[in-house]
Amino acid sequence: MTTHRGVFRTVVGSTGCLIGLILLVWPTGILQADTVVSLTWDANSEPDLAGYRIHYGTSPGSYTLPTITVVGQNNARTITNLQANTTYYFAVTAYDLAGNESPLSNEVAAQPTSTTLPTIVGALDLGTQSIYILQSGNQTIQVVGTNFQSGAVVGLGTDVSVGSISLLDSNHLTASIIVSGSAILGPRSLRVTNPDGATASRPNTLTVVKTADVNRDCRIDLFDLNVLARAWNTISSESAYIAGADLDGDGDVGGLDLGVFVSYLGQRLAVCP
Amino acid sequence: MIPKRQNRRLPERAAAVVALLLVLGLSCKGKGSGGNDVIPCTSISYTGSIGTPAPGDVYLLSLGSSCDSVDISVLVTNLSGIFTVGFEVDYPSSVIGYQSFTAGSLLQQGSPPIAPQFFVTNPSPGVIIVSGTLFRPDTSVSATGNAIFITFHFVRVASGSGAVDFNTGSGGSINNQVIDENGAVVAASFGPGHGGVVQVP
Repeated sequence: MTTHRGVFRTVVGSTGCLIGLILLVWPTGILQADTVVSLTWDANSEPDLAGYRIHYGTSPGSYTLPTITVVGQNNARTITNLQANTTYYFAVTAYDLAGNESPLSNEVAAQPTSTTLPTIVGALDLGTQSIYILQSGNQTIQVVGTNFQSGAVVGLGTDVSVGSISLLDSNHLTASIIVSGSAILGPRSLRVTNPDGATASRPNTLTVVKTADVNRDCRIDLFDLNVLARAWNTISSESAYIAGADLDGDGDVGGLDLGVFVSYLGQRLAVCP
Repeated sequence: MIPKRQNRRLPERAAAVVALLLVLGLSCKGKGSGGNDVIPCTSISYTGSIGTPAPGDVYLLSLGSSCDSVDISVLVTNLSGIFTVGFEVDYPSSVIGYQSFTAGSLLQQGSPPIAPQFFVTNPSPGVIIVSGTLFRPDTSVSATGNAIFITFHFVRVASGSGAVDFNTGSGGSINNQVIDENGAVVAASFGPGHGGVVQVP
């Protein structure tokens, strides 16, 4: 099992974006048939970046297969369902909000072969058995899925640091995470990448919420429940709204916030802010 | 004619008496034969420690029990500004087991448009953690006289006795507190001495 890397030369497009592309080709010899190529490229730093387009085909310089659009700042994509032992040629462009598109990057070629794709069924914060992970929190999550390998890497975004990962079996792994105090609230995609590069990604798997320790006394207790109850059923434009009680940051204080809160009621913060 | 008729009925009557005796005999077997004798039992008892509760007291009182179960209520005496309430109750898990709870009338006063919520957990045998709150736009309620906040239903585990009381130590998972609609702590007392002793015969 070897992993082949090729580095695209960097190009500057009409949008001024800088694109360097790294190609990972997954090898043969694994159980289940699916063929993947994972591409990563240097992120574009322009503020009006809208996304990237991956152009590819089976002849050099001829990108006849449907273009894959990657919206936003994600600078990686695993392309699945390719034909084994067929050589594919890839190039990437960036486009901005005005629709301007850079020239094609340099081209890389890959001949994908079979690998085993992991899947993600779900994940939970082990402390609360909930899908909520706290801003400023040190937590341990358990990921449930299939085909996890020893050495798999877990990703939840740049504002969530992932520490030690333990593989319980091919269907379960645990990971310690540290969520930044400024982490964006809301649902998160969870990504698991096996050492052979095969990747699974599942949207809306965990949700970053504000700490349920609303009054910051390091305990999640009656005072916090009282704050939430006093702000109950308010929206951000109302005077009775209390931002700290809007745990999921959706602009209102309601049942979801209470659900989050109850998950943590009675606990003490592992790290006191 | 008459004597002949009497003679014919004698065996019939005898048969009926025998049948009755058989039925009675079958239904009146002793305990050792698996009969349905009613065995008298003694109800579980709970004796509260508090004498006459003072204004602001929160205490435990039993309002009913049987041979197999006992209900213990949390009452509040003459206290206003009740919006959020929380406490921990410890009980002797070797003699009784926590089964369920019923919300009392205290937070339900005036049929609030947003129903009060109770969060009751039994994280380990012998410990019950309780939180209950009203929600905006409801306002604080008052206990006039004695008002029931919540009632716990316990079932018999084994004979014995033990204390049922609020955990007033510092090691509890939640503070014993009453908080008003402005977030201020209300002067309520959870003890010591606001619990009691349960006796399981």
